Amino acid sequence: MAEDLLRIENLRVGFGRPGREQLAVDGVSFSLAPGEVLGIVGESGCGKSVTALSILRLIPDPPGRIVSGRILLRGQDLSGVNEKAMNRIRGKEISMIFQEPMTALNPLFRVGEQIAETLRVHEGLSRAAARARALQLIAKVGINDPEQRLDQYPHELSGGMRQRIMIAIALACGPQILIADEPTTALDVTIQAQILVLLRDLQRELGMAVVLITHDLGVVAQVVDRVLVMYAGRIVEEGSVAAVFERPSHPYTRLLLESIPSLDGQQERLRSIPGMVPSLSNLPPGCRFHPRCPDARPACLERAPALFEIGPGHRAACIAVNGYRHEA
Amino acid sequence: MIQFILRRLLIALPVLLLVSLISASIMQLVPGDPAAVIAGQNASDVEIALIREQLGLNQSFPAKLAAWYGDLARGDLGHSILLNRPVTQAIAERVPVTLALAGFALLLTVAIGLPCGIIAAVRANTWIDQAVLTFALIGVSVPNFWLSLMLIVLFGVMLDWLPAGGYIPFADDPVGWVRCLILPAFSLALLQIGLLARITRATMLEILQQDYIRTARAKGLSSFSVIAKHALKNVMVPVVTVIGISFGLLLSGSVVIETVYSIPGMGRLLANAIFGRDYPMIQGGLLVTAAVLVLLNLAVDVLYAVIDPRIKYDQR
Amino acid sequence: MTSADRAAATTVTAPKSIWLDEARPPPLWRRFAHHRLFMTGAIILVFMLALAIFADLIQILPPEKMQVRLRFQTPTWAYPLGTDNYGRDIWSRLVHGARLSLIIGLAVALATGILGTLIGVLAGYFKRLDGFLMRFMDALMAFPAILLAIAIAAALGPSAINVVIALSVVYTPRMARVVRSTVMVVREMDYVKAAKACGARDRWIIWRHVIPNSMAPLLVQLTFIFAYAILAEAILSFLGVGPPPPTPTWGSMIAEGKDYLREAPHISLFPGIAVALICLGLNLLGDGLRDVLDPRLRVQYG
Repeated sequence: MAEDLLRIENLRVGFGRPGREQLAVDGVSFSLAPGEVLGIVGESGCGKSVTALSILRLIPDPPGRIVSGRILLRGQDLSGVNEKAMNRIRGKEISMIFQEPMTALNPLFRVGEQIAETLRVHEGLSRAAARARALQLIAKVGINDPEQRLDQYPHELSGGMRQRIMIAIALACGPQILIADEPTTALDVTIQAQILVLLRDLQRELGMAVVLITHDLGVVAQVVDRVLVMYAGRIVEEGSVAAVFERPSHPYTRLLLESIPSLDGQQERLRSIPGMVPSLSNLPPGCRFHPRCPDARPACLERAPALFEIGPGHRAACIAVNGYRHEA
Repeated sequence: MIQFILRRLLIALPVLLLVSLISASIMQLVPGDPAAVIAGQNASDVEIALIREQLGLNQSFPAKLAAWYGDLARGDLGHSILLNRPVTQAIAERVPVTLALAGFALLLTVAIGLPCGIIAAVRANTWIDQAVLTFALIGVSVPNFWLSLMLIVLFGVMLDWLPAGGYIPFADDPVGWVRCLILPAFSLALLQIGLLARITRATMLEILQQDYIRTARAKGLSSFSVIAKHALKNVMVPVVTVIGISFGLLLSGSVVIETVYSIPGMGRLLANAIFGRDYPMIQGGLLVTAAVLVLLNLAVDVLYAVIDPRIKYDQR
Repeated sequence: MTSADRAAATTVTAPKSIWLDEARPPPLWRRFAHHRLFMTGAIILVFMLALAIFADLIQILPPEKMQVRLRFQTPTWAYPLGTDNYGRDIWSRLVHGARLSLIIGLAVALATGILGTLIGVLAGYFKRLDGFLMRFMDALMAFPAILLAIAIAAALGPSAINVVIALSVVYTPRMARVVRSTVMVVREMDYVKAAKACGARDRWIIWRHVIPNSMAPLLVQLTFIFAYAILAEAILSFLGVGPPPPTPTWGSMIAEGKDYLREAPHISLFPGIAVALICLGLNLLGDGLRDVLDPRLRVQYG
């Protein structure tokens, strides 16, 4: 589709020696439209962070490497792009914020300086101009007393405030895409809500596309337009939030939704998904989820199912879905 | 910041006190009669008694200690038996020489060790890395006095490029001063270079794994910027630690190096004093050396606080 | 914390599993055997030990035997490392010197290990003792190592035992500092708190929990101190305060060759290579120990 801002085609990312890599991401494809908020959900180790880092080519090589697949930004293939051009994209066209605000900022530099740095590098602002802009940004992300905070060091700020600074850094040059890798996981619950509200408000105001990575379905429900569910390096279900939450089709998605404890209704036993995520070196044959799947049948061991369209814009990779055909 | 410095000084004082106490007690350590040893085998009883009086050995230890501290307060470190001059004067003459040597060695250490460590970390697991590690390992293992001798053979005897010893003051002949100090400074520095390179490399490797480096990359900063600006400042903290340790090692090593190269510095002065049983000189010299080290470590601590803003908040 | 504290405690952090898989790590001895540098160091050390132990068997001449007519021989088949200014065979003197150097180094390492651990544990575990003990250690460390060693060795008189005493005094504070940092971290570990909650007495906790978990940095540091001790003994012998002649030590051999650098540099050359070789081996051993036992210590020791 021509309007796709970002399109990932059959991405495979592996770790280890060339030719003998273990694939953390195995054939992931999706697209992102301008202004769209996409959520990527899954347990730890399913490959969602690796996918995100690969978009900006932030996986250190060695040991990790994009084995195959294309990453297209407005139709341009990023794999052919050299490091210098990639640096012009990072922080300017595509920005990223990370999970651990406690360690994501350089402890030896003042917070305002770390914001201003992006502006000086990408937009050529002078020191004074960048500093002024940084001040505005600090206010914009909802931090009180911005003049005082501008010259403080990261260790003088709380976790929530540091994450706001990270957001300010990411938004400084007006990126088209913001990738947020578990931005609230390391924060207290009340702060989590504040940061999510901030992200949502900023997204609406600036109209940028967001890729939000999380393992928390509650977060997804609040902020996201469309959601991808990943398991063991593959996408198992994708669709609009309404579709996936109301009509979860893949057994994994259903189990994830069931495992959320509900505050209203009867008190039942907490449900969890039995078993563990398989390790990369020991993947089960056929469908990767079948050892833990309540609907597993013999055919599941034979072939890994591909994504099959079960509704408008709603796809799932499970042969148990109504009318599933392998060639979809 | 002032509070920080004052607090550090307060901790240093008891240490200095203990140092002076230990220095003063050295004479008590020697088995037998120090006066007899100094006087020699053929001395008469009268001579020995005279020396004992001169050294104040007849007083009780507390009285001696009081006299020692009293003199110290007036800047009088005693009278050297061997050199027949005030200790303070002898030390004052030699300190600049040793400082020049140690300073030159420190310069070499940082100029060679730091870049090597950084490059080794950035190019980890390549041949450059292996080369740096090997060189560093050799540097740490080779005895510096032996290396000095071999260097003298190579550069002084065979190639005849550099003098085999001696010292020319900077004021007299700057070029000659440099030529005299190259071999000794290098012999002295080799161990520190190896140490610094290894620690820098290890620290750099750790830093490059940190989240804030990933953030810097995600901001689109060039590789050079990431290393030269973000990583480098963080590396400086343990590097400053090593430099602090190096001071002690350099002053220690200068003893041997000055002896081998016949350089008239503090180290040689003290070594000769020890062999010649020149107790006042030993006491005074050890005290000065230790005090200088304590103060240097204090300076290093302050440098820490300047580099790392978190340190000032560390109440311990 | 002072810079010295910082030097000792840079990355002694809480133990976390370093194995990615749930699979168990290979047994300890195999991890050592696969570490190439460690094995190289171990081989060098064993070789030197063999030289020292079998010195009497592999010598060509008794080390003190002088042959005035065969002075200053360059290396030949008869005398593989040449002869010195008294015509003594350098190879024979070298292997006997190995004996003394290794014994002294080992003795210093053991003494330092025991004393340093004692002081370090007391200072690290009992906060009331910490201040007093560490000020004393700081004061000792304020003296440059070699100077202090020379002073003590000269005061006590030239002999191997006095060298051991002098070097032990010099290196114990450094060991104590390392042990103290480790103990201070281990002290805060949950298993120590659990033991206290069960009513265990301090002595038990120290003996059963603190010391075993502090072993890794301790052993690594011991290896390096062994190397420093051999180096320091060579310096002391070179300066004339080591074990007296006729016992050959590598340091005194280098000193003897000092006056003949022009005509016969080989007299000083070979003992120096021997010192460098064994220090190299010990450094490799120490690095390997540290890598296998606790890779997180890398920053601390470089």
